[in-house]
Amino acid sequence: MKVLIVDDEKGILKMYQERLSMEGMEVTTASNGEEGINLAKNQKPDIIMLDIIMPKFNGLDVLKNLKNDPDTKNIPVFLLTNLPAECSGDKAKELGAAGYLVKAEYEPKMLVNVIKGAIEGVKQTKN
Amino acid sequence: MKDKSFLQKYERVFEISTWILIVLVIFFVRFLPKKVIDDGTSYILIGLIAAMALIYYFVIYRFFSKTKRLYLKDIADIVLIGILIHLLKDYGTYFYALYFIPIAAAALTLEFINALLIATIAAVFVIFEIFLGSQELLPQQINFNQGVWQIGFILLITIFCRYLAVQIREERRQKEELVAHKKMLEEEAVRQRDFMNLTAHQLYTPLSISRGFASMLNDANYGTLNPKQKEAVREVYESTTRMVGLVNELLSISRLETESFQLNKKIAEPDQLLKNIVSEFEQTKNNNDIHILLDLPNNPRPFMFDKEKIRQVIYNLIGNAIKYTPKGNITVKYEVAHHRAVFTIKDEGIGIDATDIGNLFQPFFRGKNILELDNKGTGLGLYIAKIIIEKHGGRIWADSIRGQGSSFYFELPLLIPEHLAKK
Repeated sequence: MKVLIVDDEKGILKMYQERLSMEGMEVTTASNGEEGINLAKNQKPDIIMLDIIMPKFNGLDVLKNLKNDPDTKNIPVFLLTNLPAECSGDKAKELGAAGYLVKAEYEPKMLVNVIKGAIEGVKQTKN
Repeated sequence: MKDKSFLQKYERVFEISTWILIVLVIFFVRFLPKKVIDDGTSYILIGLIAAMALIYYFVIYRFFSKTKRLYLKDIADIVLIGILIHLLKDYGTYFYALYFIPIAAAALTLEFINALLIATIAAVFVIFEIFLGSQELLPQQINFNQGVWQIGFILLITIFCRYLAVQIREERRQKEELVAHKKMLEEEAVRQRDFMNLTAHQLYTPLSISRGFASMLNDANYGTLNPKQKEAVREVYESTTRMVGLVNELLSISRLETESFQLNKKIAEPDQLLKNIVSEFEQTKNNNDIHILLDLPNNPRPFMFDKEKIRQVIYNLIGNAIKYTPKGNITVKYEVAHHRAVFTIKDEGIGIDATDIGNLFQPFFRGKNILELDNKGTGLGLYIAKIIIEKHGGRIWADSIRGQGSSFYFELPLLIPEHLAKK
């Protein structure tokens, strides 16, 4: 299972990457929006975790870009940010995000569950 | 911008009324029996006056600025109306009221000094009429008393219209100020919200990293820890968790306290909400010595309230009850009394000191009973509850007996939309 995490905070990337790798997931990371878009298009991950406040395209711009591209529009994208949900939650939903997670509320093991659940959901809709 | 359109609007009205007057006069003179007018020269005279007025209006409209134009036009109107009234002889008095149109126009739209000047010109004109009348140079006699009355009227109208104009202007200014003030408040609220959101973001980021790594260490993701290490990691994990809670609550308070904050009131069923919350607590509570009981009325009625915010209040209150009740029942009751929805959360816990009851809803207040428990609260939960309930127009209070338990109550106005109230 391929997971792409886009975040400009190294500590966050390291934390989630290590925890998800322990679950046998193949984790790729990008540290800005532009790199995130390129990796998403080249590698076609199964799921994308996207921060919002980042250099070179913020997370919402990246989301819009991915949803407008037929190659990437079916990949579930979660916003994984520390901006409160009241701030960008509605906008994210409107742009087609699969979910809005506040990092402070989601410990790494909880993120594992979210990812597993989402992948399960995708499988079920495909069947 | 608005001032200009206001001027323009009135200018048009007076302009049109002047022309209606001219047309009326021509019509009158032309179709009335001969004897009304002295001789045929009157027709030529009227024609000449109309032509001159036309040229005059054209010139002032073409070459003068807005204020000057209005000023000159008002003078022209007065002179023109005066001449026409005299040409009409006995019928002239019927048209005398028309005189007041340009005077009123000047007083309403011009500065005070200019308006006064116009009134003075009109007054001088009347004096001139009296003089001409006394010399028997006018076909129609105007005596002194009539003249004084006329001048009096002119001044009265000027003062009245001036007063009106000032009132209108003041009212408009106040309205504009109000709009500007509201806009400023809204901008301020947006700035404050953005600031709080970014502050939360900056605080959350390091906290989520510490908490995440602490939880991974705690879960032995990096190998088994010895008991001492495990205890240390546990402390780090719990204190960062508390910090996250604190940031959440500060964010909540800051949102609730902004002037622009609006409750999202919708029609909802409180009993359903209570059932959901209680079942969530039943699933997550670690203490099997606590039982949460629900006491609901037989036919609860839905009413208007902010479901998410009230959920937060009930959550806080039940959470507190569990925290301070080592063993026993927690009763969650909802009833309707005197058009108020009353919620009660009653526990059989350690209770609160009588001296602490009054301060319970203050921010960061911690009662003496806290020493008996390993407490992880933030001291903001009840304060937030109070803000939310008061925003609803309700009230929240508590009573307690030390050692026997506490009861927290809050009541909300039973707002029922009209179409449902009739049923």
